[in-house]
Amino acid sequence: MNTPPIEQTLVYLDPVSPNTERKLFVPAVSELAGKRIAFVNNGWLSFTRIGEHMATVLERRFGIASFTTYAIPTSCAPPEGLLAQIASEADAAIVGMAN
Amino acid sequence: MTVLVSNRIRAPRDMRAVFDDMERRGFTDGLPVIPPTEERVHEMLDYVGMAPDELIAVVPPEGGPATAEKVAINAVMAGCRPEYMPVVVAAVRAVTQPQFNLLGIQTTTNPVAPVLVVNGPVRERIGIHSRRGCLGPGFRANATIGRALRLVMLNIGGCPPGDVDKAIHGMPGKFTFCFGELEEESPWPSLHEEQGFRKEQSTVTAFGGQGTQNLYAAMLDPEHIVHMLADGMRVYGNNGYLRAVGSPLVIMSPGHARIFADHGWDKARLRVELFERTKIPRAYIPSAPQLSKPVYSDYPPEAMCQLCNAPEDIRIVVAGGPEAYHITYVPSFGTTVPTTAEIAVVVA
Repeated sequence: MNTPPIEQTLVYLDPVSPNTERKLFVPAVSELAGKRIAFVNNGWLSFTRIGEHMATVLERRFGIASFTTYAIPTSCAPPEGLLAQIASEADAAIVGMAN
Repeated sequence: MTVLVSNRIRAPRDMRAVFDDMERRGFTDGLPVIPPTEERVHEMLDYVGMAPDELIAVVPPEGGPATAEKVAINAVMAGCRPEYMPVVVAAVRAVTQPQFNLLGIQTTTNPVAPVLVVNGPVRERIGIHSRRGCLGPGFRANATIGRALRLVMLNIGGCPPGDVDKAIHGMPGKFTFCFGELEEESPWPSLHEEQGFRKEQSTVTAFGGQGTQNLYAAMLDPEHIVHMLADGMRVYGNNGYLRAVGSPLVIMSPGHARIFADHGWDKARLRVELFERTKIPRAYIPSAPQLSKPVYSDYPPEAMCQLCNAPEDIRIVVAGGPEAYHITYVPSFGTTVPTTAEIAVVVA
């Protein structure tokens, strides 16, 4: 595309906010053996079934230490403090089905 | 003049080319926008007397800071006049209250959108329409204030449709949904007076609404009108029944409101009638498992499933053309509580 001469342009302001909120960050695990896995379940039947399947696969094939389910409300943010609690009690978490 | 800190973007001056540029960057709702030049943004900020870096709210899901500058940018884009800015600011404050559940509303598969109801003198002052056709199209204040909120949710909240916004179909009201209550022709206390505000105060109340359902209830007595209305609201596919929560919204014409009032019905009586008449026996709802387990899943067949938690959760406002023909019902998303913010008065 040809760039128009500057007198045929205008300058507008970016409407997007940079996200300056500090997010909870947990380093990725390099392997799953011996790790504590959190399953953050919003109660959808499909997700519950996926969780049951994942627990079996992770325990049998990858030798995880534990698989713990945490319940969160459907269609709402998790209760305050829960994510930090999960981060302290688990090494990795399954948080959604991406469906 | 105060310094604005947003990134500057150079684009062709041609109207269609600058829209193409902004669309390509994902800044728009799919409709043309007004380029937010520095001059236009300053006009917005000067009208409300806010510093550009004043933080109005943090907008989920990304937690972007809605500074006065950023809100003004999006308000310009939406086509707002400067005098609409106090309403936009109040709307942003209302929807970011925790009980409104904007995170859920932004990211759900449901088509829910914020529905803004404006009360008080601001309506006349800036032209927020509350009479015939108030839900659209056609009225700039209604259209652009609701749209400014959507652009804030998109650009500051970081929620592009079809992506982070998981709505399966979406809904036209997600472009804009804002109107005024026709307080002058209502026989009842207004929405904001019911919440303790004075008539002379201006407010905006945000509801999480799934869309609109028109009900042709052209009867002349309350009993038959409420029967028709409740029948139209008694839809177990609406989210309210899933958890027996939420605030269904009924938008009634002045004509209908007068029929009820002339027969001695106040809002409280109407709420109780609607609450009771919208109950559905568990046996009527299919018993097959649902992906999201409803609260009524294990109810016995004869137990009644509720549209919401209590009669007082049903909100009734008067708006629209005068004829007692049509009522508009806005089903609630369920897990959301209506929130109200006062609109600041700007002294010219």
